[in-house]
Amino acid sequence: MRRILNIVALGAIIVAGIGTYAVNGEQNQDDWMLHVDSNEAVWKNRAVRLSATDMDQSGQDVEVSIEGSRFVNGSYIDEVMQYRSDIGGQDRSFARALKQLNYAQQIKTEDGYVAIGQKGQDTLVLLQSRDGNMVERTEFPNVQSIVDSGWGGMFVYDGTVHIVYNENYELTNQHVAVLDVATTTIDTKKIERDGVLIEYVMGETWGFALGDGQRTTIGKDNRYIPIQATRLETVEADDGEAYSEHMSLSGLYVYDVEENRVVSLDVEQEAIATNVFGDTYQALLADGTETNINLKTLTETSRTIIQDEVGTASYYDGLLYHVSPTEDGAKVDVYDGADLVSEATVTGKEVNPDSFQYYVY
Amino acid sequence: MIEVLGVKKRYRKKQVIEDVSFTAQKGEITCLIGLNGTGKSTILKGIMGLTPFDQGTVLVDGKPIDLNRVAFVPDHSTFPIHFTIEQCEAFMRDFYPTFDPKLFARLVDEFKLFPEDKLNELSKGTLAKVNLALGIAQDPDYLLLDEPFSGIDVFSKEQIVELFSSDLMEDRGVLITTHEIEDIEYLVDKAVMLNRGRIAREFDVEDVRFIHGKSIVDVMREEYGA
Amino acid sequence: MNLLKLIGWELDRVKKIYGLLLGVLITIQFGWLAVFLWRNTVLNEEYRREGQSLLVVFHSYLMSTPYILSIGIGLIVMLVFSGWIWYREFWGRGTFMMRLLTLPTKRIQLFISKFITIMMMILGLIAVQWFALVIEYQIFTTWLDGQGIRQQDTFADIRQLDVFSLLYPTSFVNFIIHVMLIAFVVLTIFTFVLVERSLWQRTIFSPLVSIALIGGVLAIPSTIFYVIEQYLFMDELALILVIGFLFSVATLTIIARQYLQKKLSV
Repeated sequence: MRRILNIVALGAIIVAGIGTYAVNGEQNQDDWMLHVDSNEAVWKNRAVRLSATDMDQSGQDVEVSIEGSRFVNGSYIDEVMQYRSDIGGQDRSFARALKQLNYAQQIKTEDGYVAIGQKGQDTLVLLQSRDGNMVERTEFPNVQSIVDSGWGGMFVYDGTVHIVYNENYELTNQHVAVLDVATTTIDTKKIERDGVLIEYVMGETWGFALGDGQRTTIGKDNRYIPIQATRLETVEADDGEAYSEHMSLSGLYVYDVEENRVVSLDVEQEAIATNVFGDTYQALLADGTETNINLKTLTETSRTIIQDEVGTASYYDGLLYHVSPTEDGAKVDVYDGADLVSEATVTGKEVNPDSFQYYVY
Repeated sequence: MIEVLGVKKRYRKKQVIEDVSFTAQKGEITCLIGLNGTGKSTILKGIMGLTPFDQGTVLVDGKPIDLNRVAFVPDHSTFPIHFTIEQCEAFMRDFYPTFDPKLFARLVDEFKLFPEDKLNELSKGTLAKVNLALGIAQDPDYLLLDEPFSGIDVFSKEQIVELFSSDLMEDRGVLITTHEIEDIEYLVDKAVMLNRGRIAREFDVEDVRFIHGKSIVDVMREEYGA
Repeated sequence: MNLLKLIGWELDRVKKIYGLLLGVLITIQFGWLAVFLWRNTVLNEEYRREGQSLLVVFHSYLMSTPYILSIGIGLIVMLVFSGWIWYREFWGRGTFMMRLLTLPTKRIQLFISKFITIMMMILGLIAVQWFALVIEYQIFTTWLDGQGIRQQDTFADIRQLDVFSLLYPTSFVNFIIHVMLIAFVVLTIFTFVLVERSLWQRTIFSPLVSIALIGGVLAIPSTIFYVIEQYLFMDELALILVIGFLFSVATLTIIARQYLQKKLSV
């Protein structure tokens, strides 16, 4: 009997300690909610993620949607179930083929998915699939100079896959590689440099990106390719030594495939959100105007979307989700062009809303 | 009856027990005899499952061994040395439904033991008596004793020997190994002599004494050539 | 009932040293907290004289050597004890293991009782550390508030630190999973000991043979995982991990049981 008390005593300590930990009053994800005032359809497959910025509110990131709220990094089981829920019944053949390549990038065109990746030290692999199921694979061997370089992105023009790369990882040595599938050879040409360089091509995704079935389709014959531009600046360090650093440029830029050079669209404002679909490059600027640029002709149209202060924004399925913080949390307005098609609010109970950043996914 | 049937045991490269079969009856004292290293202790430990035999079977009353009914008393303590005699008794009471506290108390009294003593404070002789007391108080049908007289003083030896001829051993089967055969020769019913891993001789001690006029030691001399 | 008794006896034998371990950990942590707060109080006074103020963060205390050492001591002691809980029974010509193996109780209960004892000791350490952490934080904030010294780090912040996110993850389900992994480590150590103690009379290489056997068992799911990992996605990999884990647990348990029941030699 006396010895059974040992079990009872230690058991009590364990129950008390671990019980206290288990019910520890953490921030409850159910404190947060998404209220959609109109047009719930545009919120299907969308969620607002809240990230704490203030030390006092630190805890887990929370995600709210029309289905409820959840911790972003819940239990391991939650993460796996969420992953499965995100990718649904989507065929994984294309993504599986891509997973075995290094430095994989992909885009979606009218002809389906196109991706490039590296195999070994000198082989470039091109994957194409109309539906994500049947995958065509083309290997380009002995292209070490391209494989051993930094990749700035890919696009399709004239039915052919192009890759922007910095030979020997030198930003000033930027080239475009054109892949010939029939002969499994690659032609390259150096991009005309005019101070402005390509940091990355817009609209593509790195990695095998499962669960992205709703990705926008980019045209395969756009002469002008939207890019994030950068410039190489010489900086002097404290010790007097000079070194080069690249600085991302604000404004809108495209790469002209036919003239092989970067073109500025004469927009000096920062782009808050960008979107590339079909032959259109769409951007929400800091002053609340939305610019649409035709990527075949470079004609521009603008309209004012947001009258008040611009918060954070992102494009999904051609819709603009604009978030502005409020006293109780945040307000999300959804625009289809200039039309406001949905309004929603994110609210939290007993939390300081100012301490959070909001992102729409 | 304890039946040991065709058991074999190897230690690293040495075949310690070649092929041993014998029986030990309930109500009798059977003595396993042999020179050092002939496998006597190994056989006792093997019967208890402490050192599994490579081959062969052990049956107790026709069935696999029931540890409630067989007690093993080795030549050293089998409790942590910081345990007191009291703690040893408490342990036995906890796990042996047949353990008889009154019998243990009687033996503690007879052996003049002090329950609060720690095992590491006891002499070898006293330790042997504690071991024996715990084994007998288990009230087993069979008692296996491995060198119970090894290294203990003459007075403790006498006390233990007295126990063998007392009512406490009635109806129990005793299987004992010992080098001090002359101390208990007159109590032993059967001798099983081991040589080079096999049974050299197995005989009724009284028969050999009356018919051939030989003691166990005489038979040992013949067998081992000493 | 025998199982409860066995656990009771195991805990009884270990309670002094366990108490000592807890005492050492508490002493290191709270002793160091006192030193830490005193040093910062003195430093703050110096800053104040110069017209500046000090900012003290709780995680500097937690990430300091004495504190990490205290947790390390707990970890190492429990790892060592997971093997020692068996090996000590073989000290001095077999001693207590002889008694345990001849008890009229199933041998697997010996295994289970020692396993539960170790797990209770580990969970007890985790529970006591939790209490200590809460109290340490309370002392920290109260003292600094009292001294008017600026401080940072909420209790939630500390939970994000590496060690504590492992010990006290924000999801209780993850905690259970971590405990299962700890249990797996204990099972592996137990299996090693039982195989080694079964073979020691046959070969001097019994420890190596034991490691090889266990290594072989663990190598099977590990190798499979390593080979197919590049072809699978997170949810598929999670399933493979679970299957591999269950396979390892089942196989080690079967081996441990087999050796305990049929081959263990004293």
